[in-house]
Amino acid sequence: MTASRHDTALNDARGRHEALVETFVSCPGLGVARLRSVQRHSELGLGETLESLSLGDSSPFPSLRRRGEGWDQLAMRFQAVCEEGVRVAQCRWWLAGDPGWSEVFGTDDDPPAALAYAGSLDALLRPRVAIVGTRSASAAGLAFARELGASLSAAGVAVVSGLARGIDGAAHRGAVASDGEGRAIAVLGTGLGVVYPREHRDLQSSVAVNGLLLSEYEPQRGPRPEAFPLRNRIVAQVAQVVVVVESGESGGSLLTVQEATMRGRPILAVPNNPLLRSAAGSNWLLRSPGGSPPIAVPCYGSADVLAVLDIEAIVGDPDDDPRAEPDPRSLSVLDALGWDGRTTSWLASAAAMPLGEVAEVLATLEDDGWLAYRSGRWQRRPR
Amino acid sequence: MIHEPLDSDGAVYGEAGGTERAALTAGPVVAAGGRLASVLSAQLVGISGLAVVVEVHASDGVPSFTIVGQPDGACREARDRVRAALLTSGFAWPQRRLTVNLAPATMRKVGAGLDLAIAVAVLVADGQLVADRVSGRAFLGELGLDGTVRRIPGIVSLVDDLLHDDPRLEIVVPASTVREALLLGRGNLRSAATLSGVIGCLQGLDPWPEPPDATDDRAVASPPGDLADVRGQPLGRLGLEVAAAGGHHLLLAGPPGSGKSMLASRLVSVLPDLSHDESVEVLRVHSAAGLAVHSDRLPSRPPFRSPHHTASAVALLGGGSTAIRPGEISCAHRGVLFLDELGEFSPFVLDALRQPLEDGSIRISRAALSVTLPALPLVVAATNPCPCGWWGVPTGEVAGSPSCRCSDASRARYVRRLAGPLLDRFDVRVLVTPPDPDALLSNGPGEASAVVASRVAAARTIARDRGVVSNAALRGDDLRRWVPMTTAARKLVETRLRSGSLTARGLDRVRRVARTLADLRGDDIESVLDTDTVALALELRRPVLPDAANGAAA
Repeated sequence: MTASRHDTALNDARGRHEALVETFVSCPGLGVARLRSVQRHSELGLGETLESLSLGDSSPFPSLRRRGEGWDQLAMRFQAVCEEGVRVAQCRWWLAGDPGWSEVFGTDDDPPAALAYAGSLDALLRPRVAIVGTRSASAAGLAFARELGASLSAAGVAVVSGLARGIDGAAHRGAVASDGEGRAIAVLGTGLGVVYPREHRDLQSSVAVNGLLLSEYEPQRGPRPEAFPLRNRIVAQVAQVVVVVESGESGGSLLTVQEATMRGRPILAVPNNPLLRSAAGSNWLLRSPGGSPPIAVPCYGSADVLAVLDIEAIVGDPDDDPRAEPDPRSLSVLDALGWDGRTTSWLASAAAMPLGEVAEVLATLEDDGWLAYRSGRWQRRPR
Repeated sequence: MIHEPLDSDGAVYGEAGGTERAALTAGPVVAAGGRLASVLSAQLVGISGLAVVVEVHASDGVPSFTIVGQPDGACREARDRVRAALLTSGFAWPQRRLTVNLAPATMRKVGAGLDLAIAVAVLVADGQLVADRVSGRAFLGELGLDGTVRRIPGIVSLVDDLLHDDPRLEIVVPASTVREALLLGRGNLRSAATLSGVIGCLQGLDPWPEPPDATDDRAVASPPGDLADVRGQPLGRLGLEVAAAGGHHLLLAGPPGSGKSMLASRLVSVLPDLSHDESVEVLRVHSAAGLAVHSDRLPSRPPFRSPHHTASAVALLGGGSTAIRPGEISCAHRGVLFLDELGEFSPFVLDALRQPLEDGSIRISRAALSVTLPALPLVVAATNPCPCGWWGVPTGEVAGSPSCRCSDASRARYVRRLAGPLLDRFDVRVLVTPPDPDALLSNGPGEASAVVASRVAAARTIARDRGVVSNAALRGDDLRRWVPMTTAARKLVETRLRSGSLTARGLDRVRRVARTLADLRGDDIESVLDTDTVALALELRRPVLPDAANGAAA
């Protein structure tokens, strides 16, 4: 993984392999699924196989030749593309069989053949926990995901997620903001050169610098609906434990849970108000229909996750909070606020204070890091 | 060409000339080739009355009637109206070659307001009316085919500006507008109901009629309602009061049914009465815009204008292809301009509002002329935070409220229309949420408009003592002088300046609003502002829309 972009010249065998992978993946009619077949059925390494395919030689596939001409056509098409020229790969690729690959994908029945990556693969050396959930989460759910991401990262755990809107993004923001040993690992449903959703541009680039971005696709591939469930399969494989913070009755995060259960990963879910529609799925995971054991165990905080991972929890001491202790007046405003976004008017009447006083308290709490103001509403900030 | 004999009425004409062109003199002249009459009138451009001299030349030849001097369509049709009106009023139509010149010829003549003057000038040129009867007089009004004198827009400006040129002028105005014109309280005004009536009075056969009684009492309606009707909404009420007292533009955001329009329509009720000079300004604009005005007294209450969001730029700012008509922003001069559903206005229109809001006037330039109209309204705008309106409202805060179903893209598009410099003009921004059931069911009325209005008036008095109309006009050194802060308050502001959440411009606006808050509380004119005043001013300046719109403009 030390090859820098400049070394990936055509005469460098490794660079040539990565370039062939990228060409194959981005070639219309070939793509990711075909690459997996090639990987599964070849008897050589992926790079060598692609090399001979690019020359029109399908001899590495003795078992395939018997299956009809489909594979010959595949080889011909790839050869045609390669004759037009194989460009230098635009990102680095982690290929099946590379160092560290089998530790992560060794147990997978249908592993990807190669993953484009940005950042450091060292992030995978940490214990890995996926934090997943709905894209339209409650304010409280977002706050919890962020805090969980931050405290797991502080405990040295890598936070795996899909960098989607809502819970995914919040968990990653928490992990990125924490100065702990843990890293953020984001598995994208698009190419690495595409930001989706666009508001995560900054987040995606900071994960690329401090953590690890993974994608099955060529860098320029845009968002396509079918890619995201496939991405969830990789999230489930990369993570050793999956935490569902808030998920609706049908959602991508439940697919992740399904993939993770098939792989025998422990599942945790955050218990939530039964009336909250966006949490119906995560609550369902905690129930035991017909006496069968529930799919998930409850998660009330990072300690529960660390217990499953068998890591000694570095339980945050409440007295450790670096923020200035709020005075009684501020405390009553904080209590009135809870974890939902509230307007100043609402807080003034809930805390029974004149507007001027509330404004002063809120400004002080904001300066001390207790509150954030987002588009008209006050939101309590987790530590 | 045959020289005309003296008129049968025995009118004495001056010496042959035709060089008499001074704007405010009028009279008939026997020209070497035919006879000449000139009568003074005026036409409206924007809200100004410009003198127009109507010259009629009558000569022998094939009978004809031509109008020159850049008449527009309506003005050219005066030909047929004047002819019919003269005939139905019992006058003879001169069987001569008539040429009407509307001077100055460089200015385009618009509308039918010159009809009466043209009819009078034709009679003078034909010798049916004694020439010196029309000198020292000006004639304004449109003619009906039966000789009725109809009302024309902008009578107040026309009269005011004619009198400005010559205070001794006697002005004949349509009977239906004479009360409107009399509101100025000066000038020698004559009421004209019919053409034959006017000529009868001019010939001295009848006395000029008394102005009719004030029957035309269609006033510009102030929105009904009192602040006492508003339940809850502490921050909304405060924002309203601050806007009224300090002249700060107000932005209300919130979900549908939260009471934005209710609050906005009550802003007028807490503003102080207009002064005499302000009343005259408002009267001139409303008269020119053709809005109905109280016909028995000057408008004392500030106007309230609420244009629909489909309004075009011209409707809002003023303009038009022939006459420059004042737009809504001028009609709301010295009053309130309420822009409901701000996000639905065309972005082009919103962008065009910026300059007049900064300058207090709007300059409209067309190929032929350019006009400056007053535009000093207090703007109150209401908007949903997103197309459906429910963005950011937590589940359960409002009973039964739906959750926002807008896509991020549509929300961003909606908010981007509002973004930028216009949003920055709003010193006071309040997020309004529907009041909770307790507030709705409580029996005690909210504070009444009259109580708030008295605080507002007191605050405005303090502001005037600083030498400005309102605190919104405090600038630069004045601002620093009049808005001292305690050390703690400075620290509050400094933290925000350093973190970048407050810009230099934002700081100035916070200072002005803080000053207004202190004035409303009845503080001393030079009082040092403490933390809760400054915190509240910061609170009223916070972004209330989803992030895309707020930019760095906090």
